[in-house]
Amino acid sequence: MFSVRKPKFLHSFVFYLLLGYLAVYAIGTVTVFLLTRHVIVKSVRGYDRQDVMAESKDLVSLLEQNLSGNLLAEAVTMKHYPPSTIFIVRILNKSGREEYTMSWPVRFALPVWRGTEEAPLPPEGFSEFFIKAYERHIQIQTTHLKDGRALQVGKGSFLEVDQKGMMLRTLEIFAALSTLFSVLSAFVMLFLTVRPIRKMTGEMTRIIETGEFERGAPPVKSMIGELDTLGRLFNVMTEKYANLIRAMRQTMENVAHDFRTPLTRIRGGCELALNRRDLPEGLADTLADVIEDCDHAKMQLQNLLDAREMESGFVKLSRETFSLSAVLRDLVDMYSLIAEDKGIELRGEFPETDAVYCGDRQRLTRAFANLIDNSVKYTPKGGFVRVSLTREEDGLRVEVSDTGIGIPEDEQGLIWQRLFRGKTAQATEKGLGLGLNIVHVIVTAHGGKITVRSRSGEGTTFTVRL
Amino acid sequence: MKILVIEDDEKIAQFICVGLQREGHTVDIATTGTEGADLLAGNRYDAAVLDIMLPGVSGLDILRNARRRGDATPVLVLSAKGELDDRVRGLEAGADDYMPKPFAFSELYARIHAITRRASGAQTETRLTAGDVTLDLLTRTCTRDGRKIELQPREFTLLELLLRNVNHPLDKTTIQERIWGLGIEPQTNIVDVLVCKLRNKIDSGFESKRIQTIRGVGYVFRSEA
Repeated sequence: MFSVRKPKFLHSFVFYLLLGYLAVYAIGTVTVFLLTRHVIVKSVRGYDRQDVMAESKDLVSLLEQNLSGNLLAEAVTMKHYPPSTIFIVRILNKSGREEYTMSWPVRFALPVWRGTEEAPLPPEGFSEFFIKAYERHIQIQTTHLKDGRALQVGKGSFLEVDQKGMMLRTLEIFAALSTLFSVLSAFVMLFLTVRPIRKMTGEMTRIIETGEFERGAPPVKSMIGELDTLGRLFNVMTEKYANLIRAMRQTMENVAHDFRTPLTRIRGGCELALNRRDLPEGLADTLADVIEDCDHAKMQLQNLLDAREMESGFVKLSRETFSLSAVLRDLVDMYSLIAEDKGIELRGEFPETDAVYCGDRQRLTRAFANLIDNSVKYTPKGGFVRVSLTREEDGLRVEVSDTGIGIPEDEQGLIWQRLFRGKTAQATEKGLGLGLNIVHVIVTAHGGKITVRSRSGEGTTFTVRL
Repeated sequence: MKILVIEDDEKIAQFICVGLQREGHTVDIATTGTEGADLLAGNRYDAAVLDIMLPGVSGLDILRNARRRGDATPVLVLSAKGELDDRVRGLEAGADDYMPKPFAFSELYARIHAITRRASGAQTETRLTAGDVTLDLLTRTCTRDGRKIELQPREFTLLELLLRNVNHPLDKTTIQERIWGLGIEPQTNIVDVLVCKLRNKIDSGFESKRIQTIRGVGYVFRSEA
């Protein structure tokens, strides 16, 4: 039949959802970080430029009054700047050489500031340098003085570094929060979407595994419109299916009933007649024939009903826990009578402790009886039939092997089909061609596997894994 | 014994009735559920045969009501559906045994016999005797006419079964089920082989043949040949 596999976590919707949310939040976080940094750098540059501009104005007015560089140094006070601020003032003469430099911190030196050789004066206006060692931008304003010299004032604010640190910390918190949110929202989505889906798959699994269609499925509801519709449709479908199956079973029961009642009458009447002592010659045999035919018809009816139900793929198994080895031992005991009578050795090999299995006891007994029956039937005198049960990692393995007539290779694929009878088998024994089909259906309904290994004329081995 | 048969099919009811009367029992027949329920409530029966599908009250309801009243009459349920469900439902409703249709009368009789014996308490016999055959259940030995006969365990069980139903034929299904209890239809002539082996041991060398075959019915152990 079908085996229902649970999806692995790596392929589950939850996993993809989680991955998706994490990706979205990660991209969001990085974007926000970049944007914020951009805004901060811009605003810090604005502050610095304002300061530099104000300072330049003051200094220009001082220089225009022809004050010497020393006076300038005195005039420049940096007390109102915190110690982490970089501040630079320099004056270039007409030929572009450095005439006066003053910086804070004192040892601060910038390669571009150090030129003593002649060079054209830098153009007026703002320029910006990034100093890696201090990890900040420096805003420089160049002002051309009336006497041909140039004044440059530069400032790099601690604000930038400060903001950066804060930014990183914020980013960390933000990342942690977004991870938390993504996990949380994944679970909320899971609850909203996956739960109804899981409920549906659970119901389907139950129906497929037990074949209990008649019960229908409990309503599946969801807050998400599409899923709610799907759930309702699923319920309608299972309900319809349940009705159909119910009707089918009902019909089969009625048919069976309609046949069984007259069969009972015929059989009973004959039996009654057979018990009379004054039966005319030959009548007893005729009556006995009728009774035997009744029994045959009854078995045929049962087989057909079973096969029909089983072939639909939805066998209603009544599972119970029982000792499979005990059942097999009884079967071997039972068939050993026939085997002995035929001159065949029938041997059972079972583990010392009971091998317990949960399944439909009656149906499985029937399946193994069919297999053993087949083997004994098709093994000639002096042959050997062996029934063995072994425990395997993932269940039980039953082997029925014989030294019988075997199954030709071209027929091995067909033996599980209904009403199929092998050519050699037809020549040897009479039968209906239902036996192996029923075995196959019963074993697969239990989620088991049956395989055959056979060589024409040498023997056959059926292996059942449960 | 006084036995009640509740069965809506008159012909089936009739042959059950005739069969039981022939065995020396008194039989009451009810062909509807209501009639059957009334009879069961108003009389004391040693056993009842009850069909599930009945016009009027269903067989299972009759059974449930009787059990609720405290009526412990042994009940054998018959069903034409033959589904496993019916068996389970029947036993749950309080039936002592269940039989699908069509059935052999000998099987029905053996089952009635079994449920009434079960109801009358544990068996105390340790020795079964019929004619010149004696079976000692304690020492598990068998003698005929004073001569000891060696029996295999399955042969012993079969002989015990036949002796418990002396002069009543047993069908193959009943025999197979009583000996192995596997709940499957007889597939090959297993019972025939076993009976044949037993017969060889019991009857060979004797004039009178105790174990007899009634074709179409089954096997019977005759106390008088």
